[in-house]
Amino acid sequence: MATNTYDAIIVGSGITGGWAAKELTEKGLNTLILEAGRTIVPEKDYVEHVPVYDLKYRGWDNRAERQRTQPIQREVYYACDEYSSKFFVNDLENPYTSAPGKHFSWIRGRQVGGKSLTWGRQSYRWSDLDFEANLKDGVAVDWPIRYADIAPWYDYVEEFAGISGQSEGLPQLPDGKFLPPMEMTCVEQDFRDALAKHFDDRMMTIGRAAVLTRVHKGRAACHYCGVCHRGCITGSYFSSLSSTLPAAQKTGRFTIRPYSVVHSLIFDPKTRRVSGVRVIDAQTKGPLEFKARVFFLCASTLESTRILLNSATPEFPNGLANSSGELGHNLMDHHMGAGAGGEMPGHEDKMPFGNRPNGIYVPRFRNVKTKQKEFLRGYGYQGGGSRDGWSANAAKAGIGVEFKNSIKMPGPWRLGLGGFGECLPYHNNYVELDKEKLDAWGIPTLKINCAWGDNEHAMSRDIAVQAAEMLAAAGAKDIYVYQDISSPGLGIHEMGTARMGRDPKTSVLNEHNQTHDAKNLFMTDGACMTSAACVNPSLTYMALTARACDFAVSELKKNNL
Amino acid sequence: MHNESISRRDILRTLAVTAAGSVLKVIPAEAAEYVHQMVHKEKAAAPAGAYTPKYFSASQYATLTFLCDTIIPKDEKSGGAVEAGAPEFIDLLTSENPEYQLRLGGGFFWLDAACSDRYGKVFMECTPEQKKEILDLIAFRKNGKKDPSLSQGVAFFSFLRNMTCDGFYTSKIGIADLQYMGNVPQREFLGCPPPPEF
Repeated sequence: MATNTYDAIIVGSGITGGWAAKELTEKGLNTLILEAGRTIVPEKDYVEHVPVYDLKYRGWDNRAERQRTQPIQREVYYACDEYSSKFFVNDLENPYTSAPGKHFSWIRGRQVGGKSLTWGRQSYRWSDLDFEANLKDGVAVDWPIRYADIAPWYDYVEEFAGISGQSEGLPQLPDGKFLPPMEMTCVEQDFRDALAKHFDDRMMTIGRAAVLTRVHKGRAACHYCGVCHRGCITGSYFSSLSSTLPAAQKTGRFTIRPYSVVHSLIFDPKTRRVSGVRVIDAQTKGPLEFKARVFFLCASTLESTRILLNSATPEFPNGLANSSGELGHNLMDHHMGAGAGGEMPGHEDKMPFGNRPNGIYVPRFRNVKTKQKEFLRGYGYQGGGSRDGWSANAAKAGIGVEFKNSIKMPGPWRLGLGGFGECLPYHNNYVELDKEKLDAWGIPTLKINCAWGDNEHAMSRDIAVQAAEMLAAAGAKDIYVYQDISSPGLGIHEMGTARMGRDPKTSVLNEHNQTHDAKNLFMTDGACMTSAACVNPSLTYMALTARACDFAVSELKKNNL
Repeated sequence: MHNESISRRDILRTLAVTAAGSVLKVIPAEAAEYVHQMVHKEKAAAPAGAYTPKYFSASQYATLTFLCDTIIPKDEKSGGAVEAGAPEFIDLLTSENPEYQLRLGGGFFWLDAACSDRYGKVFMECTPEQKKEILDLIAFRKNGKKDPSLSQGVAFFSFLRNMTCDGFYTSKIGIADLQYMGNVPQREFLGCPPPPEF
């Protein structure tokens, strides 16, 4: 059996694994990333400029085959398509089980870069409204950190990643180190002005996106082709491949090993440290072992937790670093599926320029200054405004040349808003190891038991109603309202299952993302989250990762690990 | 070959299911283009480059072709729905979809019956003036509201008009007519520029 030794081993090369690699190598550690999936070659694998008629199935895909091999992944219909399904896992090779009647949509990307290749790129800071929420509401456990602890790390990761956005001075959505904001369409500007006029408690801003609006750190500005989930040959949106992995590579202390499926961690009861990683080579299916002084789990929320659950020892029969019994529990996601849209009058002399890879954002206004009776926490809206084209006109009346000329004329402008709501951490939303059902590499899989509670359902109703009211106030006509809450997981913001906390008896990680039970083991992906807030979480994962790396290296130097 | 035909049927069926009710809003352009491509392949394989209807009878197909040409004719700026392959596109989708068969087949039947009542002959045997008269009646929903005996014809024509537009605007001719650029690189994001000159 081959054995290789490094200073640090990181599991996963997505958003957090990439950051850990950059930070640890730049701070002098000889670092290995173990990536379960294949290598990505942008020149070959990125397809954002391939015209639809150059695809075998003209973009419509081989749907029977997709349904057979990716029935779960294709729930992300807007991204897991003929172009980009290769960036999502094969569900047959990566099975799991949802509890009866509680479908959980587990969306995964196993390749170098992970889900950072296909992510939505929306990047928002948390505030103390979020970090203090559990304590104030008496829900779950308190976060062990506050905004002041993470603020400098937000600065740090934003300056490197490049986040375009507009400063607004909102306490619940702190401003960052922004590149110039993208422009709003004319109806978005109208809507923004109407909100300012009719509502004291709410406003609209352009989405804050990890997409470059000017040349930044050697990466080119966005060229607005608009299909980022197919890859970006100019590296203009933040991904591990475009940003952090090249930085790690530059140090000369970086190794990445694709096709390396981590089976479990090896715990040494004498030193009370993790000593190594058991790996299955995805191609040969042969076992391998790698050793290091410090370990970072960055495999994505549920994969990182699965590795710990599968690393049980006599001392930790229910999973490594699980003396608290909280490992696998408090699973969260953002609920979607409620919102409204409507026709916005005017602007017949303008057209939408449809390839902006970003939308608009209405920050949280519920339970910020006033208190809602119906639910705790709040939600934000993402959306956008554009103009109807031929397809809407074709449903109108007429015949002949006159009809032909009328259908290509652009139709009315429309604006849509969709909510992203906070989910509370419930102990009963959990995952457990299923030793009966194994994945393609013989590793036990997960049983996932997760459902929304009353708080999420009550909030979802308010999301729909408030969206309609704001559209009405902005003068929208023919408003349609929808409320059909998404299945947990489909927000692809799955969080929790190894929460941070102050007390080792009730949490898995401490304030530095370090496991209470093994000092040289860190988890910095979504697993660490103690609550979910309502904003997109990836920027917070980046900041927590950089912060944890800084701590780990200083502890290593003090011989505390 | 076997796999290809299964996958094609699957695609057409899925199209039909998702398209029920609101054809234009839910058929992705890519899907329609795929169907175009299949038709194109079949034409290339046929001896005289002609499309053999899969579902409609020869007389129904002639009616379909006439109606497509009337809905979106050729003009000085671009070709029409027939040149864009709309009749083939519609026939192919209908061959795999019982709902379309009912709506379009029933519509052709209604059209011939209505013309027999009014003019004493089936639609394709009518004079150009008679054809124009009946089509002008069913091309506008308000006529169906005024005269309930027209409502079935209006619903049929509206459905066929949607499908004709689908066929046209997913062809090369139709896309060019829209001045649609697709996912090509741009220098900057322009906000709200003026519409193109048609």
